[in-house]
Amino acid sequence: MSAPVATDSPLGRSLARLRAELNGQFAVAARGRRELDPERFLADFSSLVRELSEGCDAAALDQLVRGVFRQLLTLHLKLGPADALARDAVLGAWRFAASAVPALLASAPQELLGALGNAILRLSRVKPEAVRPFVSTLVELGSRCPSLETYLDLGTVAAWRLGHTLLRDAAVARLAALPDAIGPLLFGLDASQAAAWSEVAARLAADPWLDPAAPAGPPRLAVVGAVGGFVGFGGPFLKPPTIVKHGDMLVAFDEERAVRIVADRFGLATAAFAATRDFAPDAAGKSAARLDGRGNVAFQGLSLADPRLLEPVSWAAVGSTLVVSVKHSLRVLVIARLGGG
Amino acid sequence: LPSFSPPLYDAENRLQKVERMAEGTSRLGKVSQSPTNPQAATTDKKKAALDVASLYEGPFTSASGGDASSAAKAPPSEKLRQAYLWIVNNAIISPFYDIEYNNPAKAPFRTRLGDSKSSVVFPSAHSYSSFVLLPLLTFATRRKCLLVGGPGRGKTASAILMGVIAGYPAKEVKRAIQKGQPQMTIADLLGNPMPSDLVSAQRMEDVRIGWRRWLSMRVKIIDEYNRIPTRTQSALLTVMADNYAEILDQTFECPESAWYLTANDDAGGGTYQVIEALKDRIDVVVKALHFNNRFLDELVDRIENRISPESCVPPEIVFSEAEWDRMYAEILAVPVPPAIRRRLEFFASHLEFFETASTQVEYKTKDSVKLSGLELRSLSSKESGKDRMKDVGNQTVNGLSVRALLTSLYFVKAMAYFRQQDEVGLEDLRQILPFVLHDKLVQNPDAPYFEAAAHEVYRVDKICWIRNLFDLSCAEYDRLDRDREDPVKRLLEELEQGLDAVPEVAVRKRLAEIERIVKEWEGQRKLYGHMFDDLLALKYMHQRYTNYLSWLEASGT
Repeated sequence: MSAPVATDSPLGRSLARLRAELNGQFAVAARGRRELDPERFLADFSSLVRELSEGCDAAALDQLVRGVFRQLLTLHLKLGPADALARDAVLGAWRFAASAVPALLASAPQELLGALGNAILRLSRVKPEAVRPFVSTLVELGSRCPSLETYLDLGTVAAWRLGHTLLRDAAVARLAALPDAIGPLLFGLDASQAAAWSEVAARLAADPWLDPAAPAGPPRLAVVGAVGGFVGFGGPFLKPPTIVKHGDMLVAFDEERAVRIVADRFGLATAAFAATRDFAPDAAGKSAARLDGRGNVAFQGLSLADPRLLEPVSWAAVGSTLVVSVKHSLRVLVIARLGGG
Repeated sequence: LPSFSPPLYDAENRLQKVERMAEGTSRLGKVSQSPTNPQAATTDKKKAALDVASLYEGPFTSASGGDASSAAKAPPSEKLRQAYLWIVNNAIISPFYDIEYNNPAKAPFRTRLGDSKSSVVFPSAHSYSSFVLLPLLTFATRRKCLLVGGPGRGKTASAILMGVIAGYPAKEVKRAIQKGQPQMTIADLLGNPMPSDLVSAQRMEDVRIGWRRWLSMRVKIIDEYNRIPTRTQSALLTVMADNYAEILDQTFECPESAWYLTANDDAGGGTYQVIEALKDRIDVVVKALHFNNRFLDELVDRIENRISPESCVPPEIVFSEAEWDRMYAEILAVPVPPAIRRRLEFFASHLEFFETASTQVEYKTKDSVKLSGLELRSLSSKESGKDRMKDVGNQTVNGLSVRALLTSLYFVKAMAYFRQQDEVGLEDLRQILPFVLHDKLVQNPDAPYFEAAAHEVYRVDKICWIRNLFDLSCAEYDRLDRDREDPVKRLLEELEQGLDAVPEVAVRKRLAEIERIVKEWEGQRKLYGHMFDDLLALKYMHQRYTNYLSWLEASGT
């Protein structure tokens, strides 16, 4: 356990002021919750609040202490021993990422810590390998954010960039709002390309397969991956699904479930799709591509032969993305038109 | 295209939502993040399924209660429900569900117990504790709530919690409580003139007043208001009624606020008689129920853990002024459907009518009797023809004021809002009316209705009496089939279209129709309250059409 906080320090005085309030909150939270270990909580709280309050203005200290306390309490209440990895990841993010932005933290501690905590928990479930680079990105670029809103936008775009594909719509909507000093660096561009950031952001929004840091190369079709799978192995399907275009979405469904397929340069994913009675498949989604059953596909003026495309069951396209289900697999194939500038 | 039929959004999702809710109501010292109203789960889930892209949703919440991003905040109605759940789970030990709702698709559990075969109902839908819910609705609607009950039952504690939920620190709320006591002066209540100004000022308006802090707060608490001396009560009345304070010709405009008054005994047990006008300003009366001794462990827990609920109210249930304003605007926007409004109209129409009070129809009211100084009972026997057991109006000595009706409307809207309903329902009205009319509707002790053995209990319990009164009114409404058979309503709607360009022949037809309806009543020996209001409405319409006809004839059009 770390050394006690000096009672005559600003942090010590803040803790003294808030003592009854925080003790009361802990006591209420601990009712009937044996897993809430006061000693372990106190150890975490003591070290975290000390680290995060370094350099914090005395006037903002009470708010910071309250924010740290409440979010740490949530962490201890919600994540038990079985979630030790996620718990450590959240604590790590608070220590490293939050302490790297002291001004933002002091202005809205509960919001910032909460947002970071939720983001880490979500990434831990969806894309665990992205957690560490996500925190590194925030440590590296967070201090360039003028406001909490920008900081959260940075987090959204970084998480998408690191493979949380379901964030694509949200991230694309925030690209243009990212400062020139942040946006290009997120996509592997150097600072000299900052001036053209708004143009790059527009291209990223328009082309899901664009890699702004790589040369475009000639246009070509490629099977970029597969998503879905058998329901018994954690996938959504019992049989090869029907694929349809619905608005600007690609939807795959069998008799039991429907999922939306989201695919771009940074990853592939499925999301639960709630079909309603106004569900209206668009026939243009299918007619945009031709598959001959022998592994050949013609799409967007290009062609591709791939044995994985033998015996297609259903397909549909939106823009430069084609999704195909085949007879011998419950994973649907994603084909993209790459390159071409 | 083949037949495209993805599985539609189904009940499974709803079930998961309800399960999550049950999980969330466990005894956490935190605000439940699960939805607070399972009935609305369908819509919520649908929205959630479509929004797959939020990185910042999760267990950690912002200080304002929403997801932990600055953009997303819990809507005020959700916050209000979270506040209710937090209070009943953690702050006020009130394991009562006296505001009962039932699921139409699922019958409640009913039984009868004891020698008296008292009815016991376990409701089948989300029901509520009036002692917690009504103060909250008072906060939401900026009304005035009287908490009554014996000492130590949590009346003041409940009021303090409302102050904390309004955003004031617990210490400040406690300091701002006006504690009624026999020596309380107007200066104690409102403030003092600056001593230096009293000496040096040449004019009264130059005397500055040090106004008391509580006057500027959005939650005002008057403890034991029936111990305040009568003269000071008058000063309090000005603040309650007109929202300003006055000392030495100086006035202080108070902001809109929710009021909480407490009394150990509202039936005259205070040191001073409460002036009638002050009583009339109270919008809703809530009883502090007894402590259920089965929950003594909660008290042990509080002592052992030094828990003081008002000092650990989570920020998620604290309302900013903007949220409070938004909530109020949203409550006012909740519609009262015409069918529900008619039920209230019908109920209220029974109460004012008193046939033998006058020879002119407009003055056939209980108010006429009251103004005459005569006792209602001295005239009651002259009322003939009516079945006094069945006459709802016979059970009261007064009718409903406009203020009582307005207050009822505020609270039913708030109730529907709290329950996340699109519009006010009949049960909302049924549940709210007893609390609003508790001190407004005075029982007629001589009514034969109360002499029946099964009805004697209504002399004691006003909440059940008023609810029963409303049920009787609704039964009569249904018997008369007023939802379908309401010629007066139809005529009023016709008139509401306006008289512009209505031809003379149509006006004569409508006049004849009005007279025909009244003629039909000639055959009936009994005249009831609802007919009295209809009669006045018919007279009003007759007059409008008569005047319009005169104008048509005079203008030659």
